[in-house]
Amino acid sequence: MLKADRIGLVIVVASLLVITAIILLLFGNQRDSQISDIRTQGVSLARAISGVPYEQLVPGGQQQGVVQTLLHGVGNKKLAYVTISNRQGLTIAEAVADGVIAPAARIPSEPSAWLGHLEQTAGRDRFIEFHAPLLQQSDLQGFVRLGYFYPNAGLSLEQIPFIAMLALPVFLLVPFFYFLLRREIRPIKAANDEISKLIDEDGFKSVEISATGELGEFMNRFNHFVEMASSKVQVLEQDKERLLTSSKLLTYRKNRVETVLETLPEAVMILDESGTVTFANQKLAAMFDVTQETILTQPVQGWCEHADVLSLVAKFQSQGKARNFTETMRFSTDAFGTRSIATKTYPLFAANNPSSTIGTLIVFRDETQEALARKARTDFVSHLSHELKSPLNVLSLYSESLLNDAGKSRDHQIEAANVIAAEVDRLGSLITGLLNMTQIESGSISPDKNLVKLQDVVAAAFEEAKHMAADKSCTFELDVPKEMNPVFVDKDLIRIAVTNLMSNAVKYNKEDGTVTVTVEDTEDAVQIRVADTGIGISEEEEVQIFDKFFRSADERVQALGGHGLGLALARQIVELHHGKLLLNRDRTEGAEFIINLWKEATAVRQAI
Amino acid sequence: MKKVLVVDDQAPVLRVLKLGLEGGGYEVDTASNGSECLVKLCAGHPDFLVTDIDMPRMNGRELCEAIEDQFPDRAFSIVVLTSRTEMEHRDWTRAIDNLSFMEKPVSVRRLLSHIGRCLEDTDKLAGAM
Repeated sequence: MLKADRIGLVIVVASLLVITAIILLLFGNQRDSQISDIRTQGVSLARAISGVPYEQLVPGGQQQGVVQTLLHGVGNKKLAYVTISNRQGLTIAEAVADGVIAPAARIPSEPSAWLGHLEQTAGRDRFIEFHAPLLQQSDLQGFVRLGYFYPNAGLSLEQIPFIAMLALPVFLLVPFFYFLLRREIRPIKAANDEISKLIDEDGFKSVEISATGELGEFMNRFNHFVEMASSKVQVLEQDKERLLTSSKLLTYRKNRVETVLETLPEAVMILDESGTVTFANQKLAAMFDVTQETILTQPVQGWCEHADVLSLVAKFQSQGKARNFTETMRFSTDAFGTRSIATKTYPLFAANNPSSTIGTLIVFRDETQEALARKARTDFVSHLSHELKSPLNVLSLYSESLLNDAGKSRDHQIEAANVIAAEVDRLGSLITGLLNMTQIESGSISPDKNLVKLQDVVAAAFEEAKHMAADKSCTFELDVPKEMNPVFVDKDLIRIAVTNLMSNAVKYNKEDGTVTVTVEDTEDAVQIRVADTGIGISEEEEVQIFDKFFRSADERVQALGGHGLGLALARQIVELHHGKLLLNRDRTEGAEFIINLWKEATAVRQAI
Repeated sequence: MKKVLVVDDQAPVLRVLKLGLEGGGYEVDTASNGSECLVKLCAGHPDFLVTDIDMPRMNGRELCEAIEDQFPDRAFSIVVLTSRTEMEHRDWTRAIDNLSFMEKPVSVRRLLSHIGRCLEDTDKLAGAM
C-alpha cells in the first residue's frame, strides 16, 4: 500500500514539475518575443528619427513637443524615455514616462558604434536603449536616445487566469491517470502477493487471479509455466530419490567389498587399466610402512623402493594387459625386517563384458614363516640324518670287522658286541626322543605327573648337561633350596626341558663362561632359572626364539649347528604343565630363561 | 710301510679303523681331535690322513683349513668322512687340494681301496716329477 502511495506522490510532484516547466518555458518564450519586438521597434524608430533634420528636432520651445509626441503619441507604454542631445552630449530635449529618470548618455565615441543599442539602468529600472546619430550633411549634430523598459519576467496578475487554464487540465488528468494506473496495477499486485505466498510455502500451484487482456494472458501462461515446473520438479524429485537409493546401495556394496578386502589375511592392491593403484588394504600399507592414503595419492616409486615390486607394477603400466602369474620376492621392510613375499596377480574382468579387463588384483602373501619353516625342516632332516648316520657308521664298521681277520679274535668279538649294543641303545634313545617330541608337538602325549622333588630332577639334568659339556671350559653353578615341597610334574619331561635349556646355555656361552641353574620356591610359582654368559639374544629375534625350527641369523649361532627345536620343545613341555617359559629381558649379558611352574592356587586364579 | 693318520672323536671308531687299516698293510696312528692331529703333524707327516668332521675342540673343517694354512707344501692326501651330503657343507673344500669325501656309513674295504688309489696317484705324480 505504501508503495502505491509513493507512486501517487511521485505522480503529483512530477505533474507539478511539468506545469512549472511549461510555465517557465512559456514566460521565457514570451519575454524573448517581447525583447525581439522592442529591438525591431527601437532600431527602426531610432533610424527614422536620425533621418529627421537636427533643426526640426531642436528649434525653440515647440520642438519639445516632438519629443513628447514621440513618447506619448506613439501610444507605446513600453517606451520609457526619449532624449535629443547635442554633439557634446548635453541633453537638448527630453521626454520621460511617469516616474522615470533618464540615465546619462553612454554613447561610444567611435562613429561606427553611434548607431546601436545598449542596456541602461537608473535606480531600480532597467532599460534597453537605442541610440542613433543626428547628421546634417554628414556632420554630427547630436544624438537621439530611445529608452525602452526591459520586459518583465515576473508573474503579473493578468497572467494568472492563463496559468490557471493551463494547470487545470494537468491537475484533472493526473488523478485520472493515477487511478487508472492503480486499477491496472491492482491485479499485478494481487498476483505478486500470491506468488510471494507460493515462494513462502515452497509449493507449486496455480495462481487464481481474475484478469483480462495482456495480464490475463500473462497469468494463464504463468500458471502453465508453474504446472510444467511442478511436474518437472516431481520428476527430478523421483530421480533424486532413485539416485539416492542407488548411491546408498553402491556405497553399501563398495563398503562390503572393501571390508572383505580389508579382512583378507593377505595384503591386497588393485590397479586400474593404466596400472594406477586404486585400492590398497591396511595390510599392504603396514607391509610397506606407509599410510593407505600415501599409496593412493603417490606413484609407486614414492612409497616403495623394492625393485621387484616396482618392476611388477611397471609390467601393468607398460603392457596394461592383466594376466595371471605368480612371483616370489624377498625384500626388507623397516616394519618387519626381511620377508619372503609371494605375489599373485589376477586380471579383473568387467562384469558386463567378461572378455575385457578393468584392472588387476595383486595379492601379496607373506610367506616368511613358511619359508623359514621349510628351511628349518630341511636343516632338521639334514641334522637328523647326520645324527642317525653316526651310530650307523659305527655299526657298519664293527659288523664289517667281524667278517675280517680281526673278527677272529675273541676280544674283538666282545668289544664289537658291546659297541654295537651301546650304539643300538643310542639309536633307540634318539628315536624315542624324536618320537616324544613329535607326540608333544601333535598333542598326543599326556604328561605322567607325580609328586617329585624338583631339586633332584633339576640336579640330575644339571649333572647330565655338565657331563655332556665336559670338553667345554664352562663353570657350572647350581643353586637349589635344600628343602622344598614336592612338585606335581612329569619328571622326565621337565628333565628334557631343563637339559635343553642347559645345553643351549653351554653351546652359546663364551669361552670360560658360566652356566647358572637356580631353583626358587616363591609364593606363586616354583621357578627354574637357567642363565649363561654367552652371546645373548638380539631384540629383533626375541619374539621368534620359541618358534619351531627357528635358527638365529647370527653367524656365531649358525656356525654352531642345531635344529631349532630345543626351545620350542622346552616351551611345549612347560605349557603341558600349565606353566610358562620366559626369556628374562632385563639381562645385559648372555641369556636367562625362566620356567615358571604355577602353584595350584595361582594356576586356578590364572584360569579364572 | 705307508703311514695313515686317523682322526675321530669316537674311540670305538678309531679302534676298528686302526684294526682294519693295519689289516690292509698300513701303519696306523690315531688322534681324537683336530688339535691333537696338528700336534702329531708337527712331529712328522703321514702318507695319508683320514678325518671325521664333527669333533669337539677342533672339527674336521677347521683341521683341514689349519693344515692348508700351516703345511702348504704337504704331500699327503686327505679323506674326510662325513654324513653331510648337502653341497653347502662341502663348499669349503674347493680351496683345498688333495681332499676327498667319503660318505658315512664307511666300509673299511672301500676306504682301503680309496686310500690305495690316492697313494698310487700320488706316487705317479712324484715319479713323473
